[in-house]
Amino acid sequence: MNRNAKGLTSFDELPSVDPAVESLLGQGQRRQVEAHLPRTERSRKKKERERAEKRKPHRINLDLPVDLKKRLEHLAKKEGVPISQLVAFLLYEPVYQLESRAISLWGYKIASGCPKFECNLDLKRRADEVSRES
Amino acid sequence: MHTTLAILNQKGGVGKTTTAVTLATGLARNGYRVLLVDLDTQGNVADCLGLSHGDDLRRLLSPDLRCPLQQAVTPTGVARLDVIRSDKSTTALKQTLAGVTMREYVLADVLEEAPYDVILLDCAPSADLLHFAALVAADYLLIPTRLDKLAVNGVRDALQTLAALKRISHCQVAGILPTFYERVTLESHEQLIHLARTFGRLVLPPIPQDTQCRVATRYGKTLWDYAPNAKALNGYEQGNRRVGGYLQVLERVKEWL
Repeated sequence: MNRNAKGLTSFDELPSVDPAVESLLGQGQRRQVEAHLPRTERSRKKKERERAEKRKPHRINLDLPVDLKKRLEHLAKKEGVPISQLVAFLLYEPVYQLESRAISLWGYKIASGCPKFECNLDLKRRADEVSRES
Repeated sequence: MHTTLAILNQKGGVGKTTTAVTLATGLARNGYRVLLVDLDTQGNVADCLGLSHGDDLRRLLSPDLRCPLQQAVTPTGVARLDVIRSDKSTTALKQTLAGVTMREYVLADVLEEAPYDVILLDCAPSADLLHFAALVAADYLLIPTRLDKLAVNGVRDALQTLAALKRISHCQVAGILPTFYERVTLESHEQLIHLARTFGRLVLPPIPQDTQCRVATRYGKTLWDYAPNAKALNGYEQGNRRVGGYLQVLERVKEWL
């Protein structure tokens, strides 16, 4: 069997596979790599992983427009706060407004080619409007 | 119009019957009308569902008996799930069918007008006549395999059998299902990589090794009833999601229907 220097087969050159299989293989490989680390390093990695897993249920990845991300980073640095907390702080009001229908997404929705979502939001239009209003 | 799925591997003990029963029950619970056909003389499908063994298959297929499908099926107690049971009489059935012309079509013919959404064929671990009949009757083939060398060889044999029948079978390989997956052993990891490298997207999310499967069988209950939180059903926890397990495989199977 083809084994690399770390003592296990690499799955880097796999053809396209089911995401669940890829995820399990990734986890398996990480475990095997960690098994070869010194005891202190292994324990540190384990603690890091446990901490990360505790955070995960509340975590989401956001695809932000580049300029918005830069502005948020700049603001977070200026205020000396974590960027995730800054985003959460800024979101409370518009989320409440959207829930109570004080604002709506009408006019910003455009058809999506993705089978997962019906629509996308026209973020460029939103950015232009906000900059004009302010 | 129904979809027929054959669950087959010429290697024994790879989880064919557990897979067939769990998927059949899962589909029935999801609203599909399901018929599960046991083609194995051991009659383990009946054991897994807490039923007694019966000669339903012989009564259905034997040329001298040929009872209608609706009289041959046995209700399982699970809503929308019926079963065609098997027992030692299936051995005699195979001998009888050996002298019949067009015997490879015998199963396809009786199931043609079956009033179900999905038909699952649980095959025996041997390349016999019913094995070929299942491949002729099936639209899709699901190959469960343990993650060891011998069982993976069984996948190759199943594919060779299917290739040999290509003139009379329209069956397509839908998936290869790794069973008894142990994420902490290097051998499981290596064999899963080997499968993924060879078969790519055909490899389905693996089913974790779980003692609950055996215990559920002992009590004649399905995993959904006996251990709904079992690892084999729900997969491994990875952060805030679950990976592998029959629940995830069921979602893939529903895409084929």
